Amino acid sequence: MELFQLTISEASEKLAKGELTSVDLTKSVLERIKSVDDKVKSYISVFEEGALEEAKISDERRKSGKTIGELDGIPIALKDLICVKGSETTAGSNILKGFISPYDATVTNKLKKAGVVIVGKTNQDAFAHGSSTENSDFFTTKNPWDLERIPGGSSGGSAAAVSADECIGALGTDTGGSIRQPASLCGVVGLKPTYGRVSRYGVIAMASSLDVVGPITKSVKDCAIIMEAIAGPDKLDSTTLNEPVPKYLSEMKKVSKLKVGIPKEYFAKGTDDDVLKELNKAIDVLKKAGAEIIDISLPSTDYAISLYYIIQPAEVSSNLARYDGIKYGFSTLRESPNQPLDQVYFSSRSEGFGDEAKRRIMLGSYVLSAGYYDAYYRRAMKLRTLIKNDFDEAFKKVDVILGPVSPTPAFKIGEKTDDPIQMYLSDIFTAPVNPAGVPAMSLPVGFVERDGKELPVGLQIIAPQLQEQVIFDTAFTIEQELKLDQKPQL
Amino acid sequence: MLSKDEVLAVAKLARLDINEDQLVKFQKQLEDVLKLFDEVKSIDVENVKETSQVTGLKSVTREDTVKCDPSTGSGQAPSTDSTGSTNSPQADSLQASSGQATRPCDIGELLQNVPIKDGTNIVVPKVIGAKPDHTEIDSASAKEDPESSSG
Repeated sequence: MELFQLTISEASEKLAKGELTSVDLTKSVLERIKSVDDKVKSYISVFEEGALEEAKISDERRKSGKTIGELDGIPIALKDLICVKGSETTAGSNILKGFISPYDATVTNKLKKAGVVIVGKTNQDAFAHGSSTENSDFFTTKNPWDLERIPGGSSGGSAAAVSADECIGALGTDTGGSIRQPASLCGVVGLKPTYGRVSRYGVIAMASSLDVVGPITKSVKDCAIIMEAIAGPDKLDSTTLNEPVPKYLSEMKKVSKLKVGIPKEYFAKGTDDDVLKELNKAIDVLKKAGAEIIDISLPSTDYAISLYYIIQPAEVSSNLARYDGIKYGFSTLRESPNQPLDQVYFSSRSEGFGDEAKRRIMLGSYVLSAGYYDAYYRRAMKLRTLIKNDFDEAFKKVDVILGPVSPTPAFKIGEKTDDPIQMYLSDIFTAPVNPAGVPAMSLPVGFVERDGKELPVGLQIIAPQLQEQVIFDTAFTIEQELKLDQKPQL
Repeated sequence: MLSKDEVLAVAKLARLDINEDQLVKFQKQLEDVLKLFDEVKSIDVENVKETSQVTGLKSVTREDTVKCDPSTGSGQAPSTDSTGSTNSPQADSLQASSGQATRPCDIGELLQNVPIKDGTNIVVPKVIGAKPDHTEIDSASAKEDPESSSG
């Protein structure tokens, strides 16, 4: 086994026993990036020197007996919309190309305090607008399981990097499925935490009533380790919840008498048969462990995607209004400083934003404009209440809800780029979760074959707000039984 | 139905220039998304309350205090002890144990991404009386923003 293949918990144990140094582990990961990233293209930037420097400091800390915890010396990758002081943060967009973060995001700060080695920043759909990384203004990341397919998105770079062992763990963000869908399509674990559980200070905003930061990892334990480090209240983000962070890892246990909800809408037509078969195998594991399977209904599933694509662009249009060519980012002022103000706005935004950002900004401006606000935005906010009520009702009867993450395995690069609606519909099972604010994980549970290639399938595990622990317990139970140890061949 | 004029109007509101090809493409794509939503117009939401904050937090406030001295280091490297925040009872626990500055305290550092600046000021082009050297946009925006042509 190569060092770069280690999980966080495995590496952490070896580091603690003195069998491994952070420098060796970091070197191994950097070598791995050099040998496979020209194929996978997970990274926008790699911090080779900085990573080795941080690894050295971690090793010295350990030698002097001041080691911090499980994450000390572990190489981690961050999605490129999370600020790391003094380095470029692009959000995958041309309009932020060259933007140097003047400060650390709270999650960056927390990870640094936990001793992590930041290896680099990963590719994404620009401003997290997309489900494939094809909307990145720079390049498309490839799925490590089949390089002709998309890795999912928008956190596709982070999911591909974890899957291809180009880092030991990573952070992504999820607004309508952007952690779970790429995790599912790349065969790794991805958690969308409860809304407000993790601070977003220093994370470039997409849709502020939906955005969350969360871990993408090789195992359920690793996911719990990162969550413990990044969760918690933050005065710099007024939407964070003032609740103590549980010891997810030490409290993790296998489940037995669990009430598992199976929503009929999630298992209706539309999902590939062989994908459903893999999901059912995982559900059988829980049945055998003593769980009670209960049929439930989430009637709002049918319209969740429609309202998601009203609320989200509305918030996008507001959040992206700040890119005006005056304060930072791409600006035509740099080339021609004598333009009138309005022209700076028009030309900087028109050149700096890609088509998907423009589409969402215009859609959002439309649904928020006088005369249409009631028909679209206000109505969507009311439908949002119905979605939340659906989940609240369901969780009176069950502890967790299971379903698909994506109706299909990874699709081919280019397959959906001309038809935004088809691309949007790939979020059909993930998008309802964000308006309800509940946490949900994608757990790898099997593989299906397409064109002679094995492609991963993820199971979605949804729990009530702040009940991340029951997600970890459920996922751990399934993971320990299925023991999937396949790796993509690169 | 979304007319071409509506698409152009919305592009103007959003300060985006779009060409004829984009106009045709965006018109159809925006309409497709709106149609998706029209399918659910039959659902009765008359007596349903709107949800904007899904975890129920209300009016979260904090002291609005300066936690660092911006006058200390214009254009200079960040000073690790310039935060001054850890002495405050409001200080974040996450900052308390670190010697590293996590908040922008250095004006030079904050201004490093500004396209045009004059000392520590951000230079903003003239709003009133700007020279109209981009006729297409200028005439378009003049209809909406009377102040932009009022000089």
